[in-house]
Amino acid sequence: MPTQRSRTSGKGNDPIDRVLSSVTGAADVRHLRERWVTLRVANSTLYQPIFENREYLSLRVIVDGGRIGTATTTDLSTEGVAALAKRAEAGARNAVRTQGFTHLPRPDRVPTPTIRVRRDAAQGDFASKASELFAAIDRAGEELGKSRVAGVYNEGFQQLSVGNTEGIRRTSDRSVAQASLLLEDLSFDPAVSGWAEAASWDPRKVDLAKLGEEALSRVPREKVHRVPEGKYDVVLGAPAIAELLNMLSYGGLGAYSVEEGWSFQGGASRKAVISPKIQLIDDPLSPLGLPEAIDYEGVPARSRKVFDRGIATGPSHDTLTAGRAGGRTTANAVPPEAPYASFGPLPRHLSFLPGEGTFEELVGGIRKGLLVTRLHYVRFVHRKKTIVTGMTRDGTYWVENGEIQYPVANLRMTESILGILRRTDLTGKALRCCGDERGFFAPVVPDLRARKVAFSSATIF
Amino acid sequence: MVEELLLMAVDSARQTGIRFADARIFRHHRLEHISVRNGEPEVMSYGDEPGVGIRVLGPGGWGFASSTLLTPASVRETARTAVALSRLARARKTEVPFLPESRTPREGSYETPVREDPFAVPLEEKLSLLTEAERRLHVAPAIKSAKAEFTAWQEDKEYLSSEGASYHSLITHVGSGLTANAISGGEAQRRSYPNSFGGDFAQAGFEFVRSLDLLEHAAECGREAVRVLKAPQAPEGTMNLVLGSSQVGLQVHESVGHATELDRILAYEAGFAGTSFVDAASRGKLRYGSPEMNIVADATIPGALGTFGWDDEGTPAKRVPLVTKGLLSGFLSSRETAARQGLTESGGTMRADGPLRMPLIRMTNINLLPGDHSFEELVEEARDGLYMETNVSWSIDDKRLNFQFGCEVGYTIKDGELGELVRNPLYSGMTPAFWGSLAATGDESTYHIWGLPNCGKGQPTQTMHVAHGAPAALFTGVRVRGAR
Repeated sequence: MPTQRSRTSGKGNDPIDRVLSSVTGAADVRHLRERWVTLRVANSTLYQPIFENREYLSLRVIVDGGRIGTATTTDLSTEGVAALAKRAEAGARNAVRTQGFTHLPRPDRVPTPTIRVRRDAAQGDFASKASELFAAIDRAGEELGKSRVAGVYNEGFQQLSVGNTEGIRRTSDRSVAQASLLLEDLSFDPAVSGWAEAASWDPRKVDLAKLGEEALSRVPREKVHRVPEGKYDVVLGAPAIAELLNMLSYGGLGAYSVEEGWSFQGGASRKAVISPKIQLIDDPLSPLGLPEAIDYEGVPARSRKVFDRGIATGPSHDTLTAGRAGGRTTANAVPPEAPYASFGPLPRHLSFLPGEGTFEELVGGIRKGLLVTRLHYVRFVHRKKTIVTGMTRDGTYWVENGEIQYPVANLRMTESILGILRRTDLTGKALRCCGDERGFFAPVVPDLRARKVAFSSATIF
Repeated sequence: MVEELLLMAVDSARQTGIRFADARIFRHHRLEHISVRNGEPEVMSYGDEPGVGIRVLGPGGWGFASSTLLTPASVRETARTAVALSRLARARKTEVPFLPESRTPREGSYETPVREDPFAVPLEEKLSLLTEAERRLHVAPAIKSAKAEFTAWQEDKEYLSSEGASYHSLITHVGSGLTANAISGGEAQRRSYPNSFGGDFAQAGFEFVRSLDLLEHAAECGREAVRVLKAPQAPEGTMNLVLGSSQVGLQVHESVGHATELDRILAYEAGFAGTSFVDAASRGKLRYGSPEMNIVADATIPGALGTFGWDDEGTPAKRVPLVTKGLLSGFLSSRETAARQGLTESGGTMRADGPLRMPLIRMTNINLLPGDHSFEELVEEARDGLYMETNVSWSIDDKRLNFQFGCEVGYTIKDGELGELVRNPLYSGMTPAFWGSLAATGDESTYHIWGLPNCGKGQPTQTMHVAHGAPAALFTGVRVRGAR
């Protein structure tokens, strides 16, 4: 596919300069250029091949030392930029002064971190990636009684430039590749299935044929049994852990959740809330994940412990929430406009350090229990207690005497995320990035084993 | 200019082997969001993101490409990209059936009736309303945080297909709401007005926001948040359950709306959103619920969030029965899925959330039709049980069978009357059994069409605006418990 050049490119025509020269008062601007290809597979066919080319500007204006307004546009023409500035300034002039705002990030000597990136991502004709998908489909057809393959491959390139009136000017390129495959054998009723997913900054490392083999290896060759609701020792697969970490990020690790009192971190308690064995960091620079060199305020990204010996280290901040809390930004700013603004700063690259267990050792430590591949539709039931509910999906298995026995019908897990991490007695050595389709959340996680996890009901497939 | 670009888009896509092409250009795709949190503006945001989306049906199936660059060169390039993508699978010889266009006027225009343009209302007026409403939520020290918010969207789009269909739409959506968060010790409770997740939404102008009367309701919203903080835990057991209108709307959304999407039923969303327990061959046979259950998909209701003139592949808005007297009677469908299923016409539900995304089957206004019970009669008929309202937690499996919903508040029902307030109420069930237990539906006095602006589906994820007309309703023998 072609690369579409920005109509604003060229010396002296930089969109950030044009925007900053159009506003009065303090301001910061984000100029994002991105292109994405998505290849969706359903019913063993390439169903929706999609290409998206997007360029936009996001402006935040601060007047009178704390009145803030934001605006965005995809119209980078002179008129578009003028309208953008007018809208953001109007918002700021009408806003009440925000408490805690001190200043926008200022230039410093911290260099923009170097991250791994493929600048040719989402270019080309994608025939090779389509061929890899077709190979996975054909292979499933050969191996399974009556196969049905679904999945997706996403590949994108983003260039984020941030500038502000304090003099900050940083640009960072980023590439994202992410894929998942679901293989079902419909000769069983209900169908049995296998799931695999992967993500990397390098599209070449997301090998779809290999991913298909992994999913195929997980498709059981026998019918689904039923187990009753109850508490079970469980091996949770990396995709399930990733889903829980994303919920925890939003629900309890960002500054807004602490300011509003919803976070489990509220209060002065400094006791361990998860197993001290778990090493969990926010690591936007990890080459194992989907690295980002700067946040949306242009502050260089850095890694930070999120839990230290089981104790939460405090919420993630941008400059605004850091000002309110009397601290410094942790470089976790998200775009300042809706809908991101309502989330506030978040750790989006939660990463485990490698544990000590092989997959066989994780399963081997379960006398009677479950192996859960992934979770579906996870939602908070009680945010402050980090209790969530969600269904198991695409591969849930009964484990007995340390061995996987047979697939079981899906169960509804209703549990505290912190409770699971507290009752974790072994984490896997192998880490996997389970990033989402655009790499907004990009956790790097292992499989892990947790004791006495509550399942509140069961379904019939 | 836009008309020329649109012609260019479709003409550029008319290449060898291309059976169909259509293009949507958004002159404007506007969003204004204002929220006030604890006396300060959390967001004062305005966006306008025009763009073009071009879809083609070629020898290998569909191809879709989009761009925010509205120049002739970019539009031609986008069309060529869509064509190239549609050829990726040509060697696989995949058949994609596609119904011919509907025999309706091939040109037309649809516009939301708006009395007061929400984008033209002065910012200071909107902010002043929200600031005062938010202030009134703080009725006690236990209210640790509160929020008042307003959102308006507008899409000004042109549609053109290779069949010659040409439509213009100017659609305006607005909404507003309040949230009070009461927190004490380890307990936290939220109360919202008039609904959770941003309030209520409609296809209208700012007059809809005024009609919500936020200032009048704010203090009571705050007081109830404090009361529920101190309320006892919801009871546990199997009991009769009366649900308020907005929660019935969400139940319809999750267990009927998504379950009757024909792309899900035919496994075209298996890898992400999931499939459905509904079998494509079960129309007219599947007992979905009790005879009290009548559900329609109606994209023609004035003022509702899921109303339009034409869907995003040129099918005119229509009313389609989904469940009639408890029996499955229809699907949400498109020109492709209707053809696959042997239907004679599309249900007209192909929608995209903007120019950059490919249209998918989406809900419109999915409504449970009202019955003949007043709210008091529903409670009286329940005798003993629980009343729940305003969703706080929702989850359902990928076939839309096993669900669990939590509400902001519950009230016990004893001897046919509402009793004490309880906190953290949850109920769960399996879809056909739950709807089979529908004993009575509320009358028009309990009925409301709720706007829901956050329905997610598709890859890349799209967020669609839909609506649900719903009365209060009585269900028997439902499993209930409290979140602990």
